[in-house]
Amino acid sequence: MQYILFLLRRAAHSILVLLGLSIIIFIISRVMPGDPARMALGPYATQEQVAALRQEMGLDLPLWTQYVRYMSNLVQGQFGKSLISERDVRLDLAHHLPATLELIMMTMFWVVVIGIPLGALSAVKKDTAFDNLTRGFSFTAVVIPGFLVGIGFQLLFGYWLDWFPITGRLSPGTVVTQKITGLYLIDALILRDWHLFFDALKHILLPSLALSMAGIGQVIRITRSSMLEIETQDHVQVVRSYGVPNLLVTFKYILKPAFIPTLNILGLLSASLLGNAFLVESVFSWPGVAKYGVNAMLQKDINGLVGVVLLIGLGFLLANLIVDMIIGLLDPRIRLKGEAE
Amino acid sequence: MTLTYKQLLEIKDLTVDFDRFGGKARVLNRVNLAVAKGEKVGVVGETGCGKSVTMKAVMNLLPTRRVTVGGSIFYKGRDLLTLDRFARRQITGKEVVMIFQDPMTSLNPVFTIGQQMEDIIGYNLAGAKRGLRLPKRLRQEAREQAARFLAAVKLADPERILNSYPFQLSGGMRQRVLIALALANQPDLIIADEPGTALDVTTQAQILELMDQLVQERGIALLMITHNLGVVRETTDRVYVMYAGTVVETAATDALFAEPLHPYTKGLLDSVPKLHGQGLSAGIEGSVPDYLQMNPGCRFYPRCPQALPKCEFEPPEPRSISENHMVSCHLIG
Amino acid sequence: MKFADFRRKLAQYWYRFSQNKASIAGLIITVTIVLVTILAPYVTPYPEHAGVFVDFRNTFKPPSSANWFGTDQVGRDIFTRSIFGYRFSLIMAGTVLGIAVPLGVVLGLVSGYFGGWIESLIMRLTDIVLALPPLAMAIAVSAVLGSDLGNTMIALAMIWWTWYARLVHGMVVSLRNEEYVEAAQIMGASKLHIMFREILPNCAPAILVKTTLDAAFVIELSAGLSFLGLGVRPPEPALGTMVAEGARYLPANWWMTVFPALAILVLIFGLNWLADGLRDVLDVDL
Repeated sequence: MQYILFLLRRAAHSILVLLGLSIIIFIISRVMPGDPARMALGPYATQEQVAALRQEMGLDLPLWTQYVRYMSNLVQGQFGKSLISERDVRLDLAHHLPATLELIMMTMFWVVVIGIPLGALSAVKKDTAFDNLTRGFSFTAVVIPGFLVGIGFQLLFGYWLDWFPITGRLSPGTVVTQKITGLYLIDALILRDWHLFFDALKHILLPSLALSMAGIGQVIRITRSSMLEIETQDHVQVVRSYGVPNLLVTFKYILKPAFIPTLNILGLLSASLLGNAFLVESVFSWPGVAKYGVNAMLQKDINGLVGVVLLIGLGFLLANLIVDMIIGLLDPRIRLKGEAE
Repeated sequence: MTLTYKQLLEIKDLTVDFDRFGGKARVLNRVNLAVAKGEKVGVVGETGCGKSVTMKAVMNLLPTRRVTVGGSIFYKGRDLLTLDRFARRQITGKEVVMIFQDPMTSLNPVFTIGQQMEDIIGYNLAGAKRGLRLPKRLRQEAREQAARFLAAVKLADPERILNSYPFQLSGGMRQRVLIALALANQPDLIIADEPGTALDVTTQAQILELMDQLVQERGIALLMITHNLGVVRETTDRVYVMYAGTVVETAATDALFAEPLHPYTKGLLDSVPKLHGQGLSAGIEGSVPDYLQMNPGCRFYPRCPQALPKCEFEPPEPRSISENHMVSCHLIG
Repeated sequence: MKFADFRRKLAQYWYRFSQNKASIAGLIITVTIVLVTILAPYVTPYPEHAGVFVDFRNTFKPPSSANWFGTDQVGRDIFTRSIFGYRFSLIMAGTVLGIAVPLGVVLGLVSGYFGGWIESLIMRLTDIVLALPPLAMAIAVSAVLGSDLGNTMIALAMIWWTWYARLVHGMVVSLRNEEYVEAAQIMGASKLHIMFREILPNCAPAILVKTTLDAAFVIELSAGLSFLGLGVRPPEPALGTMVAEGARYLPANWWMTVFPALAILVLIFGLNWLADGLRDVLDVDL
């Protein structure tokens, strides 16, 4: 019960943040200097064409009316028509979302399965050669920009070693016989189409690894430091003093409480992850939302852009809500009391 | 193998060095301490005098890196420091257990009391054959035993306690849980690190009384570390006074309170506010010195009101005054 | 504090800082790059290549003693352009942080010290802004405002202050009940005095370390933006743009991508090492 209330409180907070975000976007898109219609049509459009588009977009109405229209459209999930593709932005986003979702999920997978074990091992083997190596790796991984990692991977594993394809989601000959979720890896598993599965896997490997590097580095750092901190706490000394086996102490009594700060970092990470996705999708020509956003931006498609930015904000808040849910499951103080001590 | 031994626990010339960035710090310098079967012994001193380090050395809880331990710790005639990790675990944690200072931080916040007690009791029941998973039967047995001992420390409704998380219990209840945990392994010696200091005075008094009674009933020896002289006076038979990593004086509790010999002990006793008499307590000037720049002679020399010239360079040897009364001071004898 | 004390303290800091080789390397890298960038027209071999310049006899030349980093598709020296490319990165970092840090610090001080509705307003605002990836925000703003360096920097500064407001706010809240602050209040010091003379100096080490780290961050971001073709107009060189252009000629003309990419990395690593060293010396936990 307390848990539900806690989650509702966090959800309400998220909704407020999203509302604020939509206001900021409205201000940026309407109040700042520059005419979106003129920008969309380019310098060679006639005055009439611009006026027509202004009317269509409602830019000639008073600001307040524009705001009401914009908000009521948003609440209904209407972002208007894309000025480039001439399609409903919702359709465009829905079309590009699965690719991004697949990429982000794969990235999170790497962050968790590589970052947490390396961080934990590094804490257990503190001050050994392994620990120093891991810490060096984590520093490097955090510092190098994701898109440069991507280009490095392309050069090394794509061009020189020729192990992996460097662009797109699938090889030209591969077809998806039936779109179920739109996430090719999962669809392939459902359809038991192994050719599709391995082709999709080969394509997603480099971009997801490139995108995950910074996250892996952060997670190593935080897992290591929170395990070392918990290691010194009394309750760990108590179970140790009673001769409970070391492995059990480490992987039960230290690791579980250490997960909580790690998860919080994962939630915050999702923001920079979504940001970096813009660049990594560009590097690998990954046909996702971020790539769509970059196109919308380069071509001054204001409706498409608003859709992408709001979708990203929503993604970030959802990620944090999921993190809160998992933390609640791990931490009885949140589950039973609704707050941490 | 049976060994003949006089003392249950006998610490001989225990020396602990910490490697610090500024050099080696001798945190314990030739500490001698003994506890007989069923005896109640107190160790007093200021914060930072080495009481807790001594106990952690016994319990094998000192970090292994940058720490060197010398001397010997005999338990039932066997030197714990020469035993391997596994043999040592058969003793510490089973026959010798420790109750930590702060009940609020001594239980893992994300596991129930039951989960923690099952693991601790279960692994001791399992003895040498320990895997990472306890057999179901053992886990059940451990849980029953946990419930029995929770009842023994006068906690109502043990089942509910076992299913609770630490944050759902008060400080006094947590302290009782920790005592139950200590008793559950049926130890011969309990080391208690200032039990209940983190609690309010009334609760602390109840806890101490309960512990005293339980230990008495079962004939368990008690080694109580504290800076509270009142606690020492009420619960212990014999007492050690520690200063800056050395034992400066030891005697039967009554004798020490009646006739303190070492200037530090005198200062310590003077620092207790008295109900009768006048003025504030005198106490001791200054605080425990830096372990990296310790006086080569008597460690108390810089603060000693009666220091002699030779105290600066010549460390005093322990001298027997009467049976059970030893003191390390150039002023005596 | 007396001058001699101050010097001794500084000497202590320097000693601890110099114990770590990486910090020293970071300092040297950062200072060298800043100097070389300022003096770019005098120290680069072909300063005219930074602008409009074409030499079709020398296109796609691999690295040699004449062109250390090789030449690009119109025959410009990549080494020269990389050095000039630092200008864009450094101007961007300087301007963004030059606006964001003072703004965030002041707003954090005000919200932490006064509390009440001001605090709620500022902190909720930071909540909202922090829900957006800075890169996405910068992209959105610079798209709407036109691909203009000034606008992009303002946009980034408008996001970036929130981090400093958060940081300073947190510290002020924990400091405002400290004894020395209370003592100053009792002695009748003005609010301004307490905020800037009593509280701010205690936040300074954390702000300094974070600013150094963020300089690396903004430079990374600026590289990302220019990689997407935003914020800088050709032929003005920007490292991100050079990486993107070079990527079109991979793998044969690898030097076109690899050297500008390395140039970005060297500066980012240098700043991070410097920040690490400062963190150790100033004992900041960020």
